[in-house]
This record gives sequence, C-alpha cells and structure tokens, in this order.
Amino acid sequence: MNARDALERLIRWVMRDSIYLAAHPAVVVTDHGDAVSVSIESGPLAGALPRVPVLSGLAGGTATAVEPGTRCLVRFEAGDPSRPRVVAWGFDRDSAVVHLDRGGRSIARVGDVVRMPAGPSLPVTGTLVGMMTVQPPPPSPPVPTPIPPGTTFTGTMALPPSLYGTIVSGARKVTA
Amino acid sequence: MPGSDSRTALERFIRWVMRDTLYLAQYECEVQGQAEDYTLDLLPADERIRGTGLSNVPIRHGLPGVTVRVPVGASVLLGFEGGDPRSPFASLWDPDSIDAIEFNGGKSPVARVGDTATVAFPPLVTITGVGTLGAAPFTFSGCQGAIVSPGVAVIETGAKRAKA
Repeated sequence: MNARDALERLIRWVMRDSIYLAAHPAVVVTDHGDAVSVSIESGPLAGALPRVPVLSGLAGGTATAVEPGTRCLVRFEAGDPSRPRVVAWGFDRDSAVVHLDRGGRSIARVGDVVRMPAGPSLPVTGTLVGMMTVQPPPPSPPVPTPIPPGTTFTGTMALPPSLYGTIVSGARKVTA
Repeated sequence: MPGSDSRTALERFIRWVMRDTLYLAQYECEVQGQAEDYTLDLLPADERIRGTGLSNVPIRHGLPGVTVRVPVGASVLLGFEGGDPRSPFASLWDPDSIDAIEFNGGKSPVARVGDTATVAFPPLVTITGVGTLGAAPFTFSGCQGAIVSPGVAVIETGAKRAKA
C-alpha cells in the first residue's frame, strides 16, 4: 500500500460516521404503535433496527399504522447512530392507516352512503293533483271528480325509519 | 509558499476522498413531469448534480399510504438513499406544489362539512292530511304520493382539526 492509499484509508476511517448523515432505505418488520422495527435493505448499515421512533411529516398528532413490508427512510438525528428515526415513506396501496389529529372515524368521500333518520312520519305540505272521489248524499254512488287546480293540503307522509343517499360534493384536491 | 501548497494539495485530496458526501445533502429541483406510477422527472438547480436531469425518481412522503400528483414546475428537494447517486428520491415540497393528495391511491374527493348529499325517497309514500277545496275543508288519508326530486342534505358535522 502506497502512502496515498494509506492516507485515503485513514481519511475514510476518520470520517466513517458520515454514513449516518444519509437517509437509508428500509422496510417495516413490525409496527409497535409508538415505533416500528425496520430492516435496512442494503449498504454498510444493512440489518435490523428495533423500535425506531416515527417522525410524522405532518404536525399535530398524526398517527399511523403500517403493514410489514412498507418501505420507509431512516435517518439518524444529529448523525448519531443511537438515534435512528423513520422520516419518510414509500407509497404502497393498502399499506397504512392514517389518523389525522388522532381521529378514529373514517373520512367520508363522494359516493359514500349517508343515512337520514326519517320515519315514521314527516310533516308535508303540497298541492293535490289527480282525481278525487266525491260522495253525494246517499243513496247516490261516489263520483270520481278532477281535483281543482291549486288545491293545497298539509299533513304527514309515512316514511321508513331511515332514508339513504350518497354524498355528491367534496374536496377538489384531496381524495381517498 | 511551500507550506501553503502542501495544505492546498492535502485539502484537495481530502475533498476528493470525501467526494461522495455531495450525495448526503438535499437539492432543490423543478418537476419536469410525473409518470402514472407517481415517479418524477427532475431538473436540479445545483449544477454539480444537474447533468441532463433525473428520470423516474420515486417520492418519499411524510405520511405512509399517501401520495401526490404535482404539476410541472413544482419545486421539491432531491436526496439520495444511503448517499448513493444511483438511488435518488424526492421529498419535501414547496407549499403550492400540489394537484392532488391521494390517500391510499383513492380517487373520490373527501367530503367536508358543508358538502351535500342526495337522499332518495321511496317511489310512493302514503300521505294523510287536511286541505281546503274552495272554502270547504276536507280530510284525506291513505293517499299515495310520489316525490319526484331527491332530497338534498348538507353535512353538518365533521372533524375539528382535519380539514380539506
């Protein structure tokens, strides 16, 4: 080994911790809720990292649950090997559940079903159209008669306990 | 000065040895295009890594299960997995760089408070009531009525801190 090669090796050895300044590709092995165990896929740091805290890309109590095999990036805070953090994610369909603001309810989308409590009756007003039956004094039989235009009424209509519909408007740029 | 020359030579050598640290940083880029699989064509602003630009660069997101559609001209940071120039990734955006945010790849817009829904009524409903025919009141019951227009409902409640 000549002096130049020796110096190069010395410099690389002195600076060996610079590898902890990089972002390293990894896959999730287990989601523990408050942290994930990951496996760094390749490179000099290849291997398992247990219980790595997850830093969210959104502030404010965003919680996530990920499936094993989900791709992610691991960085080391301050370049410290003892402080790995998951900082970003690859996109895989059906790989994760996101809880915005730690909410527990599913977000509704255009096309999703809505249910409206309705029955047993609902007040209604309207205009009668069609035919009615007029009962003259007996013994004359009932007489079918057109309902005069503009005949209004108030009353109730019988409805089932629930009515169903679909959401028809939503956000322009956020889809799910 | 001989000492200065030696120092300069040593500095240049160290920089050469450590040249790959260039790929530990992140670099501002302009989006030139986005493929169906969400990968990006990027043009870095930094001449040291610009070349002819980078193609098919995957995006790494701040949330799992979320991806984005972005317009040409959007600004994003380019990094390299493991400091490897063969493994570029895009992450961290300027605020206006968005066409769509997709949760789990879904294409249906999320609903918000104030959005509307249509509600279907039964084809025929039974109506009971009172009316006035001329000056004469009348009562009726068991009449069949048809509601020809669907009802329109407005979403009144929603998440307090998640908005779209």
